[in-house]
Amino acid sequence: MTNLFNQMAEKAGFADTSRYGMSGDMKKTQYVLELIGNPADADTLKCIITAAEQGMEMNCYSVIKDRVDNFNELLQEASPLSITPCLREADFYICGSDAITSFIDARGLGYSLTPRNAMLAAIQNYWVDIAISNVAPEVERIVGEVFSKKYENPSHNSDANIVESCSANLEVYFDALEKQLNGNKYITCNKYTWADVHWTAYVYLCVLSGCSRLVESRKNVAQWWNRVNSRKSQCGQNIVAVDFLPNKEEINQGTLNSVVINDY
Amino acid sequence: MGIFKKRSANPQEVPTLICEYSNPETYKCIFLANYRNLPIKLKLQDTSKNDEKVAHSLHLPSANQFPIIKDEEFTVSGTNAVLTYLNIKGQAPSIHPRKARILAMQQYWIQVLVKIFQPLIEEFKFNDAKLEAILTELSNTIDSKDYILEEFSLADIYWFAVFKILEDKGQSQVIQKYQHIANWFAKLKDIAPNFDDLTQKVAA
Repeated sequence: MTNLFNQMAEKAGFADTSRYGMSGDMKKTQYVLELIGNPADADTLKCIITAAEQGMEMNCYSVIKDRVDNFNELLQEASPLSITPCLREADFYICGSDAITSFIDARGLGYSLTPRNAMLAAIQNYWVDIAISNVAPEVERIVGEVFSKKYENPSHNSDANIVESCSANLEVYFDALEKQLNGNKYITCNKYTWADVHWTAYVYLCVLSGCSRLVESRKNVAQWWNRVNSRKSQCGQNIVAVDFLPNKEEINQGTLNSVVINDY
Repeated sequence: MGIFKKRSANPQEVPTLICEYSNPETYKCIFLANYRNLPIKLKLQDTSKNDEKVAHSLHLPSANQFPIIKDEEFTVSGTNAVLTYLNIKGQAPSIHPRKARILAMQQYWIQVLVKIFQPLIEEFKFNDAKLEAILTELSNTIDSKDYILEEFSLADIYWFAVFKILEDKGQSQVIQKYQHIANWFAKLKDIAPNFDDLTQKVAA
Protein backbone atom coordinates (compact mmCIF):
# COMPACT_ATOMS: atom_id res chain seq x y z
CA MET A 1 0.00 0.00 0.00
CA THR A 2 2.85 2.36 0.84
CA ASN A 3 4.23 1.97 -2.68
CA LEU A 4 0.94 2.83 -4.34
CA PHE A 5 0.42 5.94 -2.22
CA ASN A 6 4.03 7.08 -2.55
CA GLN A 7 4.08 6.65 -6.32
CA MET A 8 0.73 8.39 -6.84
CA ALA A 9 1.73 11.19 -4.45
CA GLU A 10 4.85 11.75 -6.51
CA LYS A 11 2.86 11.85 -9.74
CA ALA A 12 0.34 14.28 -8.20
CA GLY A 13 3.14 16.59 -7.07
CA PHE A 14 3.02 15.70 -3.38
CA ALA A 15 6.35 13.88 -3.34
CA ASP A 16 8.18 16.28 -1.10
CA THR A 17 8.04 14.38 2.17
CA SER A 18 9.87 17.17 3.94
CA ARG A 19 6.64 19.20 3.73
CA TYR A 20 5.09 19.74 7.12
CA GLY A 21 2.31 17.24 7.66
CA MET A 22 3.58 14.53 5.31
CA SER A 23 5.19 11.19 6.24
CA GLY A 24 3.10 10.71 9.32
CA ASP A 25 3.99 13.86 11.24
CA MET A 26 1.14 16.06 12.32
CA LYS A 27 -0.07 19.21 10.64
CA LYS A 28 -1.69 21.60 13.06
CA THR A 29 -3.89 19.21 15.03
CA GLN A 30 -4.17 16.33 12.60
CA TYR A 31 -2.33 13.96 10.31
CA VAL A 32 -2.68 14.75 6.64
CA LEU A 33 -4.94 12.18 5.03
CA GLU A 34 -4.27 10.80 1.54
CA LEU A 35 -7.03 9.49 -0.69
CA ILE A 36 -6.85 7.52 -3.93
CA GLY A 37 -10.09 7.79 -5.86
CA ASN A 38 -11.91 8.45 -9.10
CA PRO A 39 -13.38 11.91 -9.86
CA ALA A 40 -16.41 10.33 -11.58
CA ASP A 41 -17.16 8.05 -8.65
CA ALA A 42 -19.80 9.02 -6.09
CA ASP A 43 -18.00 7.07 -3.34
CA THR A 44 -14.87 9.19 -3.83
CA LEU A 45 -16.95 12.36 -3.68
CA LYS A 46 -18.52 11.21 -0.38
CA CYS A 47 -15.02 10.91 1.13
CA ILE A 48 -14.11 14.43 -0.04
CA ILE A 49 -17.36 15.89 1.30
CA THR A 50 -16.84 14.19 4.67
CA ALA A 51 -13.24 15.41 4.95
CA ALA A 52 -14.31 18.97 4.19
CA GLU A 53 -17.30 18.78 6.55
CA GLN A 54 -15.06 17.53 9.36
CA GLY A 55 -12.20 19.91 8.64
CA MET A 56 -9.67 17.22 7.76
CA GLU A 57 -6.95 18.08 5.24
CA MET A 58 -6.70 15.42 2.56
CA ASN A 59 -4.36 15.06 -0.41
CA CYS A 60 -6.34 13.46 -3.23
CA TYR A 61 -4.80 11.38 -6.01
CA SER A 62 -6.83 10.47 -9.05
CA VAL A 63 -6.78 6.95 -10.53
CA ILE A 64 -7.16 8.65 -13.93
CA LYS A 65 -4.75 11.58 -13.96
CA ASP A 66 -2.25 10.38 -11.35
CA ARG A 67 -2.32 6.72 -12.40
CA VAL A 68 1.07 5.04 -12.26
CA ASP A 69 2.26 2.41 -14.76
CA ASN A 70 1.85 -0.61 -12.49
CA PHE A 71 -1.34 0.66 -10.86
CA ASN A 72 -3.37 -2.57 -11.04
CA GLU A 73 -0.55 -4.62 -9.58
CA LEU A 74 0.04 -2.15 -6.75
CA LEU A 75 -3.68 -1.87 -6.02
CA GLN A 76 -3.99 -5.65 -5.84
CA GLU A 77 -1.18 -5.64 -3.31
CA ALA A 78 -2.78 -2.82 -1.35
CA SER A 79 -6.41 -3.87 -1.62
CA PRO A 80 -6.64 -7.63 -2.37
CA LEU A 81 -10.35 -7.31 -3.12
CA SER A 82 -9.74 -4.28 -5.38
CA ILE A 83 -11.99 -2.09 -3.25
CA THR A 84 -11.59 1.64 -3.90
CA PRO A 85 -11.34 4.48 -2.87
CA CYS A 86 -8.37 3.93 -0.53
CA LEU A 87 -7.17 6.12 2.33
CA ARG A 88 -3.87 6.43 4.19
CA GLU A 89 -3.34 8.15 7.51
CA ALA A 90 0.28 7.78 8.65
CA ASP A 91 0.66 3.98 9.07
CA PHE A 92 -3.04 3.15 8.74
CA TYR A 93 -4.69 2.10 5.46
CA ILE A 94 -8.36 1.51 4.76
CA CYS A 95 -10.43 0.92 1.61
CA GLY A 96 -14.09 1.49 0.73
CA SER A 97 -16.18 4.61 1.14
CA ASP A 98 -18.19 3.42 4.18
CA ALA A 99 -15.01 2.67 6.09
CA ILE A 100 -13.24 5.85 4.99
CA THR A 101 -16.12 8.20 5.74
CA SER A 102 -16.70 6.61 9.17
CA PHE A 103 -13.00 6.96 9.92
CA ILE A 104 -12.88 10.64 8.88
CA ASP A 105 -16.09 11.37 10.80
CA ALA A 106 -14.62 9.86 13.98
CA ARG A 107 -11.26 11.56 13.49
CA GLY A 108 -12.67 14.92 12.42
CA LEU A 109 -13.02 18.20 14.22
CA GLY A 110 -16.79 18.56 13.93
CA TYR A 111 -19.73 16.83 15.60
CA SER A 112 -20.52 13.33 14.37
CA LEU A 113 -22.81 13.27 11.36
CA THR A 114 -24.98 10.53 12.92
CA PRO A 115 -27.91 11.72 15.08
CA ARG A 116 -28.00 10.28 18.61
CA ASN A 117 -31.75 9.83 18.60
CA ALA A 118 -32.68 6.26 17.56
CA MET A 119 -35.54 7.29 15.28
CA LEU A 120 -33.57 10.02 13.52
CA ALA A 121 -30.55 7.75 13.07
CA ALA A 122 -32.80 5.05 11.61
CA ILE A 123 -34.50 7.51 9.24
CA GLN A 124 -31.07 8.76 8.19
CA ASN A 125 -29.97 5.24 7.29
CA TYR A 126 -33.22 4.49 5.49
CA TRP A 127 -32.38 7.36 3.13
CA VAL A 128 -28.76 6.23 2.89
CA ASP A 129 -30.05 2.78 1.85
CA ILE A 130 -32.32 4.30 -0.80
CA ALA A 131 -29.38 6.29 -2.15
CA ILE A 132 -27.03 3.30 -2.28
CA SER A 133 -29.47 0.60 -3.36
CA ASN A 134 -31.74 2.47 -5.74
CA VAL A 135 -30.21 5.78 -6.80
CA ALA A 136 -26.56 4.74 -7.18
CA PRO A 137 -27.02 2.17 -9.99
CA GLU A 138 -28.87 4.68 -12.20
CA VAL A 139 -26.38 7.47 -11.47
CA GLU A 140 -23.47 5.13 -12.25
CA ARG A 141 -24.96 4.39 -15.68
CA ILE A 142 -25.47 8.10 -16.36
CA VAL A 143 -21.94 8.98 -15.25
CA GLY A 144 -20.60 6.05 -17.24
CA GLU A 145 -22.14 7.46 -20.40
CA VAL A 146 -21.24 11.09 -19.79
CA PHE A 147 -17.76 10.77 -18.21
CA SER A 148 -16.27 7.34 -17.45
CA LYS A 149 -16.42 5.80 -20.93
CA LYS A 150 -14.46 8.79 -22.24
CA TYR A 151 -11.55 7.89 -19.98
CA GLU A 152 -11.02 4.73 -22.02
CA ASN A 153 -12.22 6.08 -25.35
CA PRO A 154 -11.92 9.88 -25.68
CA SER A 155 -14.05 9.88 -28.84
CA HIS A 156 -16.99 8.21 -27.07
CA ASN A 157 -20.30 10.02 -27.60
CA SER A 158 -22.70 9.60 -24.73
CA ASP A 159 -25.97 7.89 -25.56
CA ALA A 160 -28.72 10.40 -24.75
CA ASN A 161 -31.33 7.62 -24.62
CA ILE A 162 -29.52 5.83 -21.82
CA VAL A 163 -29.12 9.07 -19.86
CA GLU A 164 -32.79 9.92 -20.40
CA SER A 165 -33.96 6.44 -19.42
CA CYS A 166 -31.89 6.40 -16.21
CA SER A 167 -33.05 9.90 -15.38
CA ALA A 168 -36.66 8.74 -15.79
CA ASN A 169 -35.98 5.79 -13.46
CA LEU A 170 -34.73 8.24 -10.83
CA GLU A 171 -37.94 10.27 -10.82
CA VAL A 172 -39.69 8.09 -8.23
CA TYR A 173 -36.83 8.48 -5.75
CA PHE A 174 -36.64 12.23 -6.21
CA ASP A 175 -40.40 12.40 -5.71
CA ALA A 176 -39.95 10.54 -2.43
CA LEU A 177 -37.12 12.88 -1.45
CA GLU A 178 -39.34 15.86 -2.25
CA LYS A 179 -41.96 14.53 0.22
CA GLN A 180 -39.34 13.77 2.86
CA LEU A 181 -37.91 17.29 2.64
CA ASN A 182 -41.31 18.82 3.25
CA GLY A 183 -40.78 20.71 6.52
CA ASN A 184 -37.16 19.60 6.92
CA LYS A 185 -34.10 21.71 6.12
CA TYR A 186 -32.08 18.57 5.50
CA ILE A 187 -33.07 15.02 4.60
CA THR A 188 -33.38 13.48 8.06
CA CYS A 189 -34.34 16.53 10.07
CA ASN A 190 -33.14 20.12 10.38
CA LYS A 191 -29.57 18.94 10.90
CA TYR A 192 -27.11 17.85 8.25
CA THR A 193 -26.48 14.05 8.45
CA TRP A 194 -25.00 11.13 6.48
CA ALA A 195 -28.15 11.02 4.36
CA ASP A 196 -27.23 14.47 3.02
CA VAL A 197 -23.63 13.40 2.31
CA HIS A 198 -24.78 10.43 0.24
CA TRP A 199 -27.48 12.28 -1.67
CA THR A 200 -25.17 15.24 -2.29
CA ALA A 201 -22.70 12.99 -4.12
CA TYR A 202 -25.38 11.48 -6.38
CA VAL A 203 -27.25 14.73 -7.02
CA TYR A 204 -23.95 16.50 -7.80
CA LEU A 205 -23.11 13.92 -10.47
CA CYS A 206 -26.65 14.07 -11.88
CA VAL A 207 -26.45 17.86 -12.19
CA LEU A 208 -23.03 17.76 -13.90
CA SER A 209 -24.30 15.04 -16.24
CA GLY A 210 -27.11 17.25 -17.52
CA CYS A 211 -29.92 15.86 -15.36
CA SER A 212 -30.44 19.00 -13.28
CA ARG A 213 -34.17 18.89 -14.11
CA LEU A 214 -34.49 16.21 -11.42
CA VAL A 215 -33.60 18.90 -8.90
CA GLU A 216 -35.01 22.06 -10.47
CA SER A 217 -38.48 20.61 -11.04
CA ARG A 218 -38.95 19.95 -7.32
CA LYS A 219 -39.27 22.88 -4.95
CA ASN A 220 -38.07 21.19 -1.73
CA VAL A 221 -35.23 19.35 -3.42
CA ALA A 222 -34.10 22.58 -5.15
CA GLN A 223 -34.11 24.45 -1.83
CA TRP A 224 -32.19 21.64 -0.14
CA TRP A 225 -29.66 21.68 -2.99
CA ASN A 226 -29.16 25.44 -2.58
CA ARG A 227 -28.67 24.93 1.14
CA VAL A 228 -26.09 22.17 0.59
CA ASN A 229 -24.22 24.37 -1.89
CA SER A 230 -23.89 27.24 0.54
CA ARG A 231 -23.68 25.70 4.01
CA LYS A 232 -20.50 26.19 6.03
CA SER A 233 -18.78 22.99 7.08
CA GLN A 234 -19.88 20.90 10.07
CA CYS A 235 -16.65 21.73 11.93
CA GLY A 236 -17.36 25.45 11.79
CA GLN A 237 -14.55 26.40 9.42
CA ASN A 238 -15.22 28.88 6.70
CA ILE A 239 -15.44 26.35 3.86
CA VAL A 240 -18.20 24.81 1.76
CA ALA A 241 -17.71 21.07 1.21
CA VAL A 242 -19.19 21.02 -2.31
CA ASP A 243 -16.54 23.55 -3.44
CA PHE A 244 -13.89 20.83 -3.12
CA LEU A 245 -15.63 18.49 -5.55
CA PRO A 246 -14.21 18.35 -9.08
CA ASN A 247 -16.15 20.47 -11.59
CA LYS A 248 -17.25 19.18 -14.99
CA GLU A 249 -14.02 20.10 -16.72
CA GLU A 250 -11.95 18.52 -13.94
CA ILE A 251 -13.97 15.30 -14.12
CA ASN A 252 -13.43 15.24 -17.88
CA GLN A 253 -9.71 15.67 -17.28
CA GLY A 254 -9.79 13.06 -14.53
CA THR A 255 -8.44 15.32 -11.80
CA LEU A 256 -9.25 15.54 -8.10
CA ASN A 257 -8.81 18.54 -5.81
CA SER A 258 -7.26 18.13 -2.40
CA VAL A 259 -9.07 19.30 0.71
CA VAL A 260 -7.05 22.22 2.05
CA ILE A 261 -7.98 23.96 5.28
CA ASN A 262 -6.45 27.38 5.89
CA ASP A 263 -8.97 28.61 8.43
CA TYR A 264 -7.65 27.08 11.70
CA MET B 1 -40.32 21.66 27.49
CA GLY B 2 -38.72 18.47 26.28
CA ILE B 3 -38.07 17.09 29.77
CA PHE B 4 -41.28 15.11 30.11
CA LYS B 5 -42.18 12.73 27.36
CA LYS B 6 -45.77 11.89 26.61
CA ARG B 7 -46.55 8.57 28.25
CA SER B 8 -47.03 5.79 25.75
CA ALA B 9 -50.57 4.48 25.35
CA ASN B 10 -49.22 0.92 25.60
CA PRO B 11 -46.15 1.01 27.82
CA GLN B 12 -45.77 -2.78 27.63
CA GLU B 13 -45.81 -2.84 23.85
CA VAL B 14 -42.56 -4.02 22.31
CA PRO B 15 -41.31 -3.20 18.81
CA THR B 16 -42.41 -5.56 16.05
CA LEU B 17 -39.84 -6.84 13.57
CA ILE B 18 -41.53 -7.70 10.31
CA CYS B 19 -39.20 -9.96 8.42
CA GLU B 20 -38.69 -12.57 5.77
CA TYR B 21 -38.37 -16.31 6.21
CA SER B 22 -34.81 -17.70 6.18
CA ASN B 23 -33.07 -14.44 5.49
CA PRO B 24 -29.66 -13.21 6.74
CA GLU B 25 -31.06 -9.70 7.24
CA THR B 26 -33.62 -11.12 9.68
CA TYR B 27 -30.89 -12.99 11.54
CA LYS B 28 -28.77 -9.82 11.88
CA CYS B 29 -31.67 -7.98 13.50
CA ILE B 30 -32.59 -10.84 15.85
CA PHE B 31 -28.99 -11.30 16.97
CA LEU B 32 -28.54 -7.59 17.72
CA ALA B 33 -31.84 -7.28 19.61
CA ASN B 34 -31.00 -10.38 21.63
CA TYR B 35 -27.46 -9.19 22.37
CA ARG B 36 -28.78 -5.84 23.62
CA ASN B 37 -31.59 -7.49 25.62
CA LEU B 38 -34.17 -5.64 23.59
CA PRO B 39 -37.49 -7.49 23.49
CA ILE B 40 -39.01 -7.67 20.00
CA LYS B 41 -42.03 -9.37 18.52
CA LEU B 42 -41.38 -11.31 15.30
CA LYS B 43 -43.85 -11.23 12.46
CA LEU B 44 -43.27 -13.11 9.24
CA GLN B 45 -44.46 -11.31 6.15
CA ASP B 46 -45.35 -12.49 2.71
CA THR B 47 -42.78 -10.59 0.64
CA SER B 48 -45.04 -10.40 -2.39
CA LYS B 49 -47.48 -8.16 -0.51
CA ASN B 50 -46.87 -4.49 0.03
CA ASP B 51 -47.96 -2.92 3.28
CA GLU B 52 -49.66 0.29 2.19
CA LYS B 53 -49.25 1.96 5.58
CA VAL B 54 -45.51 1.29 5.51
CA ALA B 55 -45.21 2.46 1.92
CA HIS B 56 -47.02 5.68 2.76
CA SER B 57 -44.95 6.29 5.86
CA LEU B 58 -41.67 5.79 3.98
CA HIS B 59 -42.72 7.66 0.82
CA LEU B 60 -41.87 4.75 -1.47
CA PRO B 61 -44.15 1.89 -2.52
CA SER B 62 -41.60 -0.90 -2.83
CA ALA B 63 -38.03 0.11 -2.01
CA ASN B 64 -36.09 -1.69 0.72
CA GLN B 65 -39.18 -3.31 2.21
CA PHE B 66 -37.70 -5.88 4.58
CA PRO B 67 -36.89 -6.06 7.40
CA ILE B 68 -39.28 -3.50 8.89
CA ILE B 69 -39.44 -2.32 12.48
CA LYS B 70 -42.65 -0.91 13.90
CA ASP B 71 -42.52 0.73 17.30
CA GLU B 72 -45.78 2.43 18.22
CA GLU B 73 -46.19 5.13 15.55
CA PHE B 74 -42.67 4.81 14.21
CA THR B 75 -41.89 2.65 11.16
CA VAL B 76 -38.68 2.19 9.22
CA SER B 77 -37.42 -0.42 6.77
CA GLY B 78 -34.14 -1.76 5.39
CA THR B 79 -31.40 -3.62 7.25
CA ASN B 80 -29.18 -0.60 7.81
CA ALA B 81 -32.00 1.50 9.26
CA VAL B 82 -33.52 -1.27 11.39
CA LEU B 83 -30.15 -2.30 12.85
CA THR B 84 -29.37 1.32 13.65
CA TYR B 85 -32.67 1.63 15.51
CA LEU B 86 -32.12 -1.62 17.42
CA ASN B 87 -28.57 -0.53 18.27
CA ILE B 88 -29.61 2.76 19.89
CA LYS B 89 -33.04 1.95 21.33
CA GLY B 90 -33.14 0.79 24.94
CA GLN B 91 -30.83 1.13 27.92
CA ALA B 92 -27.99 -1.24 27.01
CA PRO B 93 -24.82 0.35 25.57
CA SER B 94 -24.74 0.59 21.78
CA ILE B 95 -22.23 -1.46 19.81
CA HIS B 96 -20.07 1.33 18.46
CA PRO B 97 -16.27 1.21 18.48
CA ARG B 98 -14.83 4.36 20.03
CA LYS B 99 -11.50 4.12 18.20
CA ALA B 100 -11.64 5.52 14.65
CA ARG B 101 -9.47 2.78 13.22
CA ILE B 102 -11.58 -0.04 14.68
CA LEU B 103 -14.76 1.71 13.52
CA ALA B 104 -13.29 1.95 10.02
CA MET B 105 -12.36 -1.74 10.02
CA GLN B 106 -15.87 -2.63 11.21
CA GLN B 107 -17.34 -0.76 8.24
CA TYR B 108 -14.77 -2.32 5.88
CA TRP B 109 -15.80 -5.86 6.84
CA ILE B 110 -19.49 -5.02 6.66
CA GLN B 111 -18.94 -3.58 3.19
CA VAL B 112 -17.01 -6.66 2.03
CA LEU B 113 -19.85 -8.87 3.26
CA VAL B 114 -22.75 -6.89 1.85
CA LYS B 115 -21.29 -5.79 -1.46
CA ILE B 116 -19.12 -8.78 -2.44
CA PHE B 117 -19.64 -11.88 -0.29
CA GLN B 118 -23.44 -11.97 -0.01
CA PRO B 119 -24.05 -11.53 -3.76
CA LEU B 120 -21.69 -14.47 -4.43
CA ILE B 121 -23.54 -16.63 -1.89
CA GLU B 122 -26.92 -15.65 -3.31
CA GLU B 123 -25.72 -16.85 -6.72
CA PHE B 124 -24.42 -20.12 -5.15
CA LYS B 125 -20.86 -19.33 -6.29
CA PHE B 126 -19.34 -21.34 -3.44
CA ASN B 127 -16.15 -22.12 -5.36
CA ASP B 128 -15.54 -18.64 -6.70
CA ALA B 129 -11.92 -17.45 -6.37
CA LYS B 130 -13.10 -14.14 -4.93
CA LEU B 131 -15.09 -15.92 -2.23
CA GLU B 132 -11.98 -17.86 -1.26
CA ALA B 133 -9.90 -14.66 -1.26
CA ILE B 134 -12.41 -13.00 1.09
CA LEU B 135 -12.52 -15.97 3.48
CA THR B 136 -8.73 -16.19 3.51
CA GLU B 137 -8.45 -12.48 4.35
CA LEU B 138 -11.18 -12.80 7.00
CA SER B 139 -9.50 -15.84 8.55
CA ASN B 140 -6.16 -14.00 8.67
CA THR B 141 -7.85 -11.00 10.27
CA ILE B 142 -9.56 -13.07 12.95
CA ASP B 143 -6.42 -15.12 13.58
CA SER B 144 -6.82 -16.42 17.12
CA LYS B 145 -8.97 -13.56 18.41
CA ASP B 146 -12.48 -14.02 19.78
CA TYR B 147 -13.90 -11.46 17.37
CA ILE B 148 -13.18 -10.20 13.86
CA LEU B 149 -11.64 -7.02 15.25
CA GLU B 150 -10.06 -6.22 18.60
CA GLU B 151 -13.52 -5.98 20.20
CA PHE B 152 -17.03 -7.27 19.54
CA SER B 153 -18.57 -5.22 16.75
CA LEU B 154 -21.41 -5.12 14.26
CA ALA B 155 -19.07 -6.86 11.80
CA ASP B 156 -19.36 -10.01 13.98
CA ILE B 157 -23.15 -9.85 13.85
CA TYR B 158 -23.27 -9.33 10.07
CA TRP B 159 -20.90 -12.21 9.31
CA PHE B 160 -22.42 -14.53 11.92
CA ALA B 161 -25.89 -14.09 10.41
CA VAL B 162 -24.72 -15.05 6.94
CA PHE B 163 -22.68 -18.05 8.12
CA LYS B 164 -25.63 -19.20 10.26
CA ILE B 165 -27.91 -19.14 7.24
CA LEU B 166 -25.32 -21.17 5.32
CA GLU B 167 -25.20 -23.66 8.19
CA ASP B 168 -28.99 -23.88 8.38
CA LYS B 169 -29.06 -24.62 4.66
CA GLY B 170 -26.44 -27.35 4.96
CA GLN B 171 -23.64 -25.30 3.37
CA SER B 172 -21.33 -24.97 6.36
CA GLN B 173 -18.50 -26.63 4.37
CA VAL B 174 -17.91 -23.15 2.91
CA ILE B 175 -16.22 -22.09 6.15
CA GLN B 176 -15.07 -25.40 7.66
CA LYS B 177 -11.64 -25.36 6.01
CA TYR B 178 -10.87 -21.98 7.58
CA GLN B 179 -10.00 -22.94 11.13
CA HIS B 180 -9.92 -19.40 12.56
CA ILE B 181 -13.36 -18.68 11.12
CA ALA B 182 -14.78 -21.96 12.38
CA ASN B 183 -13.44 -21.29 15.88
CA TRP B 184 -14.78 -17.73 15.87
CA PHE B 185 -18.19 -18.99 14.66
CA ALA B 186 -18.37 -21.48 17.54
CA LYS B 187 -17.49 -18.76 20.06
CA LEU B 188 -20.15 -16.42 18.66
CA LYS B 189 -22.76 -19.15 19.21
CA ASP B 190 -21.84 -19.05 22.89
CA ILE B 191 -22.58 -15.31 22.95
CA ALA B 192 -26.10 -15.99 21.71
CA PRO B 193 -26.95 -19.39 23.25
CA ASN B 194 -30.68 -19.04 22.59
CA PHE B 195 -30.28 -17.81 19.01
CA ASP B 196 -31.62 -21.08 17.54
CA ASP B 197 -34.75 -20.85 19.69
CA LEU B 198 -35.30 -17.23 18.72
CA THR B 199 -34.91 -17.89 15.03
CA GLN B 200 -36.83 -21.14 14.97
CA LYS B 201 -39.86 -19.40 13.55
CA VAL B 202 -37.91 -17.77 10.74
CA ALA B 203 -35.15 -20.33 10.11
CA ALA B 204 -34.57 -22.29 6.93
